[in-house]
Amino acid sequence: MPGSDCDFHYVISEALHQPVKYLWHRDRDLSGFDCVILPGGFSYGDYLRAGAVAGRSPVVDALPDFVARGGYVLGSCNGFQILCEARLLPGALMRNECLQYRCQSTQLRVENVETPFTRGMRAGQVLTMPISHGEGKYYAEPDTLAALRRNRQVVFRYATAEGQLTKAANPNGSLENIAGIINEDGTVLGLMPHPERAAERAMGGTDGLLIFQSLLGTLVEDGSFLKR
Amino acid sequence: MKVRVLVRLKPGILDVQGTSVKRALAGLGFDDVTDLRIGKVIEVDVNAATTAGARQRADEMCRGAIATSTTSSPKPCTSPSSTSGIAIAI
Repeated sequence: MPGSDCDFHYVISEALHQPVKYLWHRDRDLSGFDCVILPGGFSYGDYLRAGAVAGRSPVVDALPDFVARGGYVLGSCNGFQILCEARLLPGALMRNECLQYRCQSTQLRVENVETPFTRGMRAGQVLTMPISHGEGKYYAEPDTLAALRRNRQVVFRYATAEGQLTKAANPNGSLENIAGIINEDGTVLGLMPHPERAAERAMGGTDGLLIFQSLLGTLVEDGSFLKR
Repeated sequence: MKVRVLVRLKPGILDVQGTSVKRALAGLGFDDVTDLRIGKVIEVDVNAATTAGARQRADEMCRGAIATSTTSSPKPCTSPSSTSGIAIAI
């Protein structure tokens, strides 16, 4: 998108050694891809609302059909905001409750390991990933929150290093310390932290790589690689 | 025809910006402010033949993009007398 600035290309290509291609916001043809990643950044300058304009772009319009045909979608930071604006995920991301732009390392407790994005993790495992956002407070109405809990759609929550869900561990005031969620089918993941910034030891940690490795495992298992 | 759209957070949703500004006003001596919430005004010039038509198009724009129903809710507002436009409070 105009204004997207986070580099997933490097991680997919150099850390995972998988083919990856950039798409432009006007592209509608998603055939031949296993996963579409919506990266972080400030698409369209966060005008109107963060992710609001990008969420209505042609490439995002093409995502529901892509997902229905078996594709996976990962949205990080601004990508998560875009997915909520496009109604591919429920809820909204609002201004951080502290009103500060938070650029820091966070601990995330893994809440659901039965998803394509987390199958390589342990239930309750605490991961370390950085965040960098001013509008990351996850909000949803009470009945939506209840549905997320009931359907096990909450995948990551902000936690202490010991896995406790505390207010101090919550950098932006997200309801129920929610840091990442999936759709009901488990094929679309949105999270505010940046897994691509925790993908090599030189970056300070490799916990983010677990998300990509989990997804690769899923793609191998469901035969996607054989279709190429 | 000019349509003025007011976008506000739904009641009950914490307005951190409003809280911050209220605190700032108190620091300036305006300690009689009991509440403050911040919205935004969007003015749209719509090519419509009637007020009702312009309002309907503005409603559609609000639901399509200008507002998000997760955090804001539509609420009609009376027309300001000083302009020929209409206003919709969202």
